[in-house]
Parts: sequence; C-alpha cells; structure tokens
Amino acid sequence: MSEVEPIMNHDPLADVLAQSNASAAVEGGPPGGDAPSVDTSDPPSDASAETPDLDAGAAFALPEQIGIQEVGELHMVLRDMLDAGGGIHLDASGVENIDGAGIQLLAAFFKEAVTHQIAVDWVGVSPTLAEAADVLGLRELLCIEQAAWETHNR
Amino acid sequence: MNDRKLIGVLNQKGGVGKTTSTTNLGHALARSGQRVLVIDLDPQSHLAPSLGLFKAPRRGTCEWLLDEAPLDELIVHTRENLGLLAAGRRLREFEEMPGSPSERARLLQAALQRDMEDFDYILFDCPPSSGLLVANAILAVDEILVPVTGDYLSLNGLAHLLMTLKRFEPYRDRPMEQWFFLSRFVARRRLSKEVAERLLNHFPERVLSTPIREAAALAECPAAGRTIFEYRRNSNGADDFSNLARDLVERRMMA
Repeated sequence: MSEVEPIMNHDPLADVLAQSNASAAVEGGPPGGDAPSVDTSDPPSDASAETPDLDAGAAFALPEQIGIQEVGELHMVLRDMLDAGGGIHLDASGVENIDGAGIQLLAAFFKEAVTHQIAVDWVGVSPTLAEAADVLGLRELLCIEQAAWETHNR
Repeated sequence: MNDRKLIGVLNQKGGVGKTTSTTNLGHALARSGQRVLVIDLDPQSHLAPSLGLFKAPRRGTCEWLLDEAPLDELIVHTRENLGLLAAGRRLREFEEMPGSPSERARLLQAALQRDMEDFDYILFDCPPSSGLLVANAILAVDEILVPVTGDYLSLNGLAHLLMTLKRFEPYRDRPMEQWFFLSRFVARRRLSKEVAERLLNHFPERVLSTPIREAAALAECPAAGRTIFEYRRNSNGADDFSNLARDLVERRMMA
C-alpha cells in the first residue's frame, strides 16, 4: 500500500518552535490537570516591572553589504521583526555598500512598519547609507535624521 | 476571591473566526450559567453587530482604557449573563495616540485592576495585527485561545503569533496558558487533516477537543445580529460551540 504524500512541504511551526526553544516551555499536562503554560521560570530582572520596556524594542545590526545577493535573507529577518511587534532599532553604522535592491528593501520595510504601527529608529547610519538615501530622495521615508549622520561623521 | 478567567481570542491572521468564536463561545458560556463579558479590542468593531447592535455604541473600550470611564456605564447587557464592551468609535485611533508605548501597552491591565464587574469569563476579541492593542491583550490576559483554520497560511499566522508571544513573555508577571482549537474545519479536506495533525503534534494536550466545522449558518449569524444559538439552535455550529465551551471549562483536549 502506497503512502499518501503530505500536501505541506513546510511546517512553519517547526521552524519557530525550534528557534525559540519553545517546545520545552509548552509541554502540556493531562486533560483536567494543570494547564500547560509558557515557561517564565527564568525571566529577566525587569519581568515584574510595572511597565514593560517596549520602547527598547529589538536591535538589529545591518550587514556591511546590502546588495541583491543579501536582500532575500535580510528581508526574512526584517519581516520576522515586524511580525514580532514592538519597536525596532536598526544599526546601519557598519553598512559599507548598498545597491538599489538594498535601498528598496529598506524603503519597503519602513513602509510596512508604518502599516503595522511599529516604531523604527536608527542607532547609527553610515555615510554610505545616508548618501544613497539622499541620492534616491528617500531620506524622509527612511527617517534618516541629519543628526544621526552628523554624529557618525564627527 | 474572584477566579475570573481573562481569555484573549487571538491570531494575527485574519479570517480565522476570532469574532465568530468570541461571540458564540461567549454566548455558549453564558447559556451554561457563566457570567460572561466580551470585550472588543478590534477597531473593526464587529462584535457589536454580531450581537445585534447594528448601531454600535459610540463609547467603549477606548473610553474605558484612556478616559477611565466607569465600566458599568459602558457595558451593554445583550443577553442573560452576557455583557458587551463594544470597541467604540475612537478605538481605531488608539495606535496613533501620543504617549509611551510601554505605558500604553499596560492600559488594559490597569483598567482591569481599577474597574471590573463580577464576571466569570472575560473574552477579548483581538485584532489581526501586532500593534499596541494586541500588546495590551497579551500583557493582561491569563489565557489565550487561538482559532486555527485548516490551511497552511493559518499555521504560518500561528507561527508569527508564537514569535510575538515569545517576545512579550519576559514582560509578563505570570505564566500564560495557551489553548488552540480548529476553526472553520472541513473534515473531508486532506489539508485540514494535515493541519490538525501538525497542531496536535506540536501542542499535545493543548488543542481543545471540538473542531468548529465550517458552516454557512455561522457566516450568516452576524447579518441577522444573532448568535448561532438564536439563529440555528439545532445546527452543527450550535452543537460545536456548546461543546467547545465545555472543552474550555472542563479542559477537554483532542486526543
């Protein structure tokens, strides 16, 4: 008897559970017993704070090269950060080369962030990125403040 | 001691049946004698018409959270044992309002501590997004209930939700229980069965026993402003939501 091929070639839950090591945190009990829960047994020191430090958000350092070869992988990372919610801090101080595809990716990311109402700011902006944004007239869309560039160039 | 249950009906994918489930599960619990409040956290404001309020209340969740308006002035008692806090017209402005995101993410938690009537179950109908309203729900509830439809994108949405939950986990001061159930389920579809298997495989003992079967009557209910128990009380949908309510109360899980 031949086995029926599964329709799904990919299991997104497996990826996420593997990444976050959540499988250990969500083991369930028997029916009627204690409910399984997300493991918070080892929270960071601010777990009991009255207000979460959501402003801190997630930080991500962009790679030195952002070209057509890199945008696929980078897109997945940025998309996951948007899906996770909260603020996002991008560090582009190390960006040495960026091409049209890279700038286009960042522009799309900022537009998407606005749609999701997620605040994105720059920890640092390299001259390369700032110049590319200027040339393409995307400084405003990418929220690249003059101050950030000047600070970096001081 | 009030052992009320705060349950967020949550999935960041749209169209999985969050509002349908909040409405009908809420009414099923109310019919079984539980005192239930359903709260609309979705600016689309679909909960009120689903319960027959076609002219939705002007004030609701936003006034409760931001203006500290007394809850008893805002709740509409729609059925025996079933109260509604509608979204209100201003809720769609919530995400853009000024103030620290950290503080605004705790508004629901503060409101629940400040002002809560005596309910056994409070169900939150959450929006399909990852903004501050969802953050409020994640930080305030005891449990989340996740409807999952029988398709790949629903699993994908669930994966994103798990990432969001993981991100907020350090900011919660207590564990969160997570429950899943199959929504809009079509048993004869191979893909639906595969999704159910994957869900059970990843979350054993956390998938509620009763799948909610896809049914035209459930889609028709909001147009009539009735729950499934009023619109087609002898339908599969009514049976499914009655059973799902029992699953939730008695912790009956899919084997």
